[in-house]
This record gives sequence, C-alpha cells and structure tokens, in this order.
Amino acid sequence: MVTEGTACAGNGRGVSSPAGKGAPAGKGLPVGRLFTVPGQVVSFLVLIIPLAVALYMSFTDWTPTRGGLGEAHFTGTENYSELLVWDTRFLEAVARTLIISAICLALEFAAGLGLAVLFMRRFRGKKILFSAFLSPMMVLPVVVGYTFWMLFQSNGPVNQILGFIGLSGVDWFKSSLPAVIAVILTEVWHWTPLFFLILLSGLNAVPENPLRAAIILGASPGQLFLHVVLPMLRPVIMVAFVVRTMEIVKLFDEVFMLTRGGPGSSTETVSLYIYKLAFNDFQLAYGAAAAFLVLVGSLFLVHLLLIPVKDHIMEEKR
Amino acid sequence: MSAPKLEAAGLTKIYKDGAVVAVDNISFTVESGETLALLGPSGCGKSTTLNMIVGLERPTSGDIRIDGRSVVDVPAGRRDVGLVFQDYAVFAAMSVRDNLAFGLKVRRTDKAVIRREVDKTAEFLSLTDCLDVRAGRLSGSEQQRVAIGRTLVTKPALLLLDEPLSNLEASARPAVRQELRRLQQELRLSIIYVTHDQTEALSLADRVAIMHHGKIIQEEQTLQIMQYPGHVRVAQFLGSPPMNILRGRLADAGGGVKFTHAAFAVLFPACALPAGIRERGPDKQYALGFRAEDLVLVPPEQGLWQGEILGVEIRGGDAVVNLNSHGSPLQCVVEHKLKAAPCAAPAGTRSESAPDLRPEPEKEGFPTTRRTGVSEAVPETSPAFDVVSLRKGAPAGLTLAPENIVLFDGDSNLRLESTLVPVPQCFNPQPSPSVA
Repeated sequence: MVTEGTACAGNGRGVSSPAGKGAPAGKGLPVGRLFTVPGQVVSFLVLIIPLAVALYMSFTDWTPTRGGLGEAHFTGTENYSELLVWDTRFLEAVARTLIISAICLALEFAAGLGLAVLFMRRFRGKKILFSAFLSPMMVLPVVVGYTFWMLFQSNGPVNQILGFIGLSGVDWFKSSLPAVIAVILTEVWHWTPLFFLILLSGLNAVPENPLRAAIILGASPGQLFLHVVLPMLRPVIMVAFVVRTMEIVKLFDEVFMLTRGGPGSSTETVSLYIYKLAFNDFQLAYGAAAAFLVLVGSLFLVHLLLIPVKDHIMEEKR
Repeated sequence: MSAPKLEAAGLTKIYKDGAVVAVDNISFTVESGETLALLGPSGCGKSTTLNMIVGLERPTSGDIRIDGRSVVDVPAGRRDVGLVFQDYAVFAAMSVRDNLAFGLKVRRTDKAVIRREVDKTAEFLSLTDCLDVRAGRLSGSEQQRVAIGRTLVTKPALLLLDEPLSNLEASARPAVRQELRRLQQELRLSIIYVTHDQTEALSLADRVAIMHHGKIIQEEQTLQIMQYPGHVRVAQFLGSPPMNILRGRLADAGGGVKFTHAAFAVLFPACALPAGIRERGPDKQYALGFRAEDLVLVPPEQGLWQGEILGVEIRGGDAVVNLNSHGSPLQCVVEHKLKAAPCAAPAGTRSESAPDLRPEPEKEGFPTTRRTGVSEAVPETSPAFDVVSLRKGAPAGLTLAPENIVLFDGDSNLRLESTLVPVPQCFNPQPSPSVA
C-alpha cells in the first residue's frame, strides 16, 4: 500500500511557475516615462505640497487670525501630545467613530451578503430590483443625510411606521442612543449596496465544481456555505471591508446633516470634530495635527485589513 | 450471482423542452472491481452521464442501480458515489488535511477515525508531506491526488473520474496514469473513467464504451474495440491516425462482389462475403475501412493506384502522410528515416530536394510478397523514407495490405463482418499505362 514518499512540491511556498521565462526586462523606454510627467506634476501640486504644508502646520501654533503661516511659532509635537493625552473629546470622537464604523460594517456586510445570496437565485423582477438596490449608493451623502433627517423627524415617516405597528415614536435627535442609531441606519442604508455589489460579483466568480464536489461528499447547504463558499469569498470580503473602512473612518456628511454631532457630542465623529476645530474655532494647526493622527491611524487599520488580501494577490501571481 | 456494481438502464437526458437530447437511451453495467471507460468527443454526453450517476442531474427517463438499489431519487451526497473532476475542484483555501477530511467531517464522523483515515489516505497517495499546505498552492498532479484522496477517504462504492488527466501537462500524464493504474489494482475499485483520449481509455479500462451524439455506439473489451470497430464513427475516432474510410458501391463480379471506388477496387470472393450482402440488393452504399498502417506508400510506378501528397506530419519515429486520392482524403503511416549528414555529392546524382519514393537499396529484400490480385508484391509496411523530402503536390503510389479491411453498411454505418477470410483482393479497375 505504501508508496515511495515524494516531497510536496507545494510545500507551503507555492507552485513553481514559468514566471521569468521570456518576461520582459521591465525597463521602460525613456519616452514612456515622459508620459507620466504631467500626472506626477499634478499630484505633486495638489497632493504632495498641501500635505507637506499641513504637516508643517501641525507642528506650529498657527491660526489664520494671527497672520501668515510664516509668522507662526514652531511648537514641536505639542499639538500631538495635547491630542493624544489631554484632548478627551478627540479620543472619544476616535472611539465613537470606530464603534459606529464597526457596527455599520457588520450590518452592511450581513445585509449585503444576504442580498447577494438572494440575487444568486432566479426570481421575477430581479433586474429591476437589482438596479433599485444599487441606487442608494449613487445618491450624494449630503442628500442622504438631509433625506434621513426628514424621515427621522418626530412627526416623520419613521415614527409614523412605528405608530402603525403599535410602538411609540422616538425623538431621534434629542437623546444620544436614538441619534447614534439614526446615524448608523442612515449609513447602512447608504452603503449596503457597495457590499452587495462586491459580494455578488464574488459569488458569481466562485467556481462551480468545488461546490458540486462538496455536495457529492455529502455537505448540507449550511455546511456548503460556511465551509466552502465563505472561504472562497474571503479575498473579496476583505477587499469590500478595506474599501468601506477607508470611507467610513471619514464619516462626516450624513452626521453633519443629521445631528451636527449632537446631542452634545454623542454622535460627533472624528472628521466632524476636526471640521469644527478648523472651521468653527479656526485652530487650523491643531486640526491639521488631528487630521494627521487620523491619517496614520487609518493607514494602520487598512494595512491590517490588507494583509490577508496581499497574501492572496501574491499567491495568484506565483 | 450478485448484482453489478452499477447498472444504467435506458438512461436519457433531454434539455430545453426536448430541443437538446444530451444522452439518448443508453444502457451499460459496471461489475465490481471493473473499470469502464466512456470514450467520445466533446459534447457526446459523457459528463452528463456521470452527472446523472452521481446525482447532480436527474435523468429524464431510465434507471440507475448501484449494488442493485435504484438511486434515481437519492440525493447526490447519499449515493455512495465519488466523483473526481477534470479541474480537480479542490477546496483551494483549505489545507490538504482539511480537504481529505471534508467528506468525513460533514458526515460527523468521529475525530479519531477522521485522523486515522486521512493519514492512511495521505500515505497511500504520497501526500503526507503536504498535509498542512493549502491545496491551492499545490501543483496540478498533487491537486489531483488530493481530489482523488478526498473521494477515497469516504470509501465510495463507485468512483467516477471525469477526464482526470486533461488538465495536466503532457509530460506529467504517464506518471499519473500509472498512479491511477496502481489505485485500480490495489484497491480493486469499480470505476467509470470518462475521457476523450483513447490512450487513457485503452490503457486504464477493462471495457470501453464509445459515445457519439448521446448514444453508446459500441461497447467492447478494450483490446477488441481497436481491432474490430463496429461502427464507422468508432473507426474514425480510434487510432492515431484513425481508420481511412472510403465510400463506394458493390457489384457482382465472378461469383464474388467487387467494391469499386474512383481510385481502386477490392474483390471479395464469394466465400469471403459478409453475411446478408447479397440480400441487400444493388445500389446500396458501403464504406470500406482500413488502417493508415495498412496503406503502403510506394514509388508512383509501383502503386496499385496513385495519390497526391498533401502534407507530412512527423511524429518522431514515424510520420503520417496526408494524401488525396481521386478526391478522397487518405492517411498513411510511414517510418521516418533520418537522412545521414550530406557528403560531397558526386556529379550527376539526384537533387536532394526531389522526392524519392523508391525503397532504400538495403530495403530491397524487405517487402514481404503477397498475392493480392493484380498487384504483385505489397510490402507489409511502407518502406522507410526521408519524409522531409516528401513534398506537397508530389505523386505517390499506393497499395493496400488487405487482411484488415473492414466493410461497413453505408447507411447505418455498422460493420458488416468482423473478419474477412479468405483475404479479399485489391486491384486497380482501370490500370494505368505504367502499371499495365
């Protein structure tokens, strides 16, 4: 029965591939590089320079009321230490943003996956419903915020529907929890279609034969979904989370239109707080420092989420 | 007597409200420990047949019995049938261990049993070193072993292999074929092997069923089917190159009958006539089949009839010469003789580029003489040529070794006789001046 043991070619390091055989050396022609110059100039002007100026600004005490940036005093890391150690409003805004983001992402993922699975089946009116389900994503965030602000008014449609099913109306914007719920529901309504679209395309790309193999091996529909479909969807799920995370940590428009961060600061997200620092209190240097901290935090978060996706992409290339 | 492992009776699959008949009333059996190959071109219904057996598709009509029990109404996962897919269909994100264990896990088998069976199967298939590697990272042949192992762990009553070698590189196929042969012999599995590759079918199967347009047109022991194709389609599908088929009519000739084609004729003596030919009456179409190996390429003046060379496919030791003979395409296998490095050619010698169909001097004694009617001597095989010198458009002489000529009914395409004894005679009905 026993055969000669053969070394496993895969061995956890991927299969040897003809990569490199006959591949171009990778040296672009100088004329080809010239074509990238306009793009590089534009990105330098609109991205690198403002970023560098903002970074410099974050190490000063500059406010526009005290003259030009050149007259500002260099304060070193004072703004950063202030934000990270003493500014509880900032830290609370960060925590609040993360909590709202996590809840929103979980709900959007669950709803998007449910819809995607539903749309893998055939049913009447599928094409019209598909367009309808995608449409929220196409609406401007400001419009969404304003629309939901009207829907959540004390005599608005949401309270009327609650009344229909025998529940008492809620003053959505007068206490903390209902306000947070309103923000989350608005965000989930707006961005579930993105999860739906990405996951549906992922489900459509799942190869059929492993599913058939699992069925033949005796897997139930639940086992099939949990043990075969979801692992195959993992890279797509991660991409969806990365895209949405990058977007949701900047959550601003809907909150601004719905609650302006209130009541109190119970729905104040970090973007809204930075906006208030910069444009209400004119603490532009302090706001720039806060913005840089958020940028670094976001990059770290996205990097964490990208790790498994990177692995997948590298594996495909091998 | 125990029931066959698998019995398919009147199996039919019709799609699109009758518009497409994928499988058309086929019946076959697979005995315990036997390997049956379903062989046929793409789209002939092989994979649909497998899908019906495994339970992924429901037959439109017919019955499937495994160990004597009808399984048509049994869902796919409970039929005790394993299927290995053409693309292996391993669970790429799982480790090899999880792949092998999958079938037992979903059946809620005891963990200790799962571990034991997985280790045993991994050892049997030389996968022990790969157990913790993700299946998606393995090479094609390793993935295939994982796919086979994943099925074997569940100990199915019947194993179905759907073109398991098609996705492998040509160089890896012989080794995997050997591996499959070992599995067969050591485990005595009942296997249905679906393929369009005759080499795989002939080397692995005990019996071969040839499918065409959803029907089984011949089912035979492996060795028999090559020698005695029962249908024109089988003759045209098997062999490399396949059998030459010429269509023509029969006419009475001196007690026997004469098959006449534009190019040449074959005289069947009365005692060699296939049964029932005389009762079929005149004006019936017939098809004459002979292997490319039995068609002999000779110099034009020595041929029973002539053809024009259309091209040469060198296959290594031999070559296939494509010919046109009076509008009929023919193929002939010749031994490929590599020309020695050119020496200084003496003045007046023949140009190297000119085709030379004359037998090599040292081959003069080679042709085995055989009385074949008008033709005086026919070599058993074509003499060796430097096939590179066979140029497109050059004339060639052709003769035929008649022992293995097969006669088919021109309408039903079924073979009329398995062997023709005594040997018919080939001759040219209108001898060319050179031959005369």
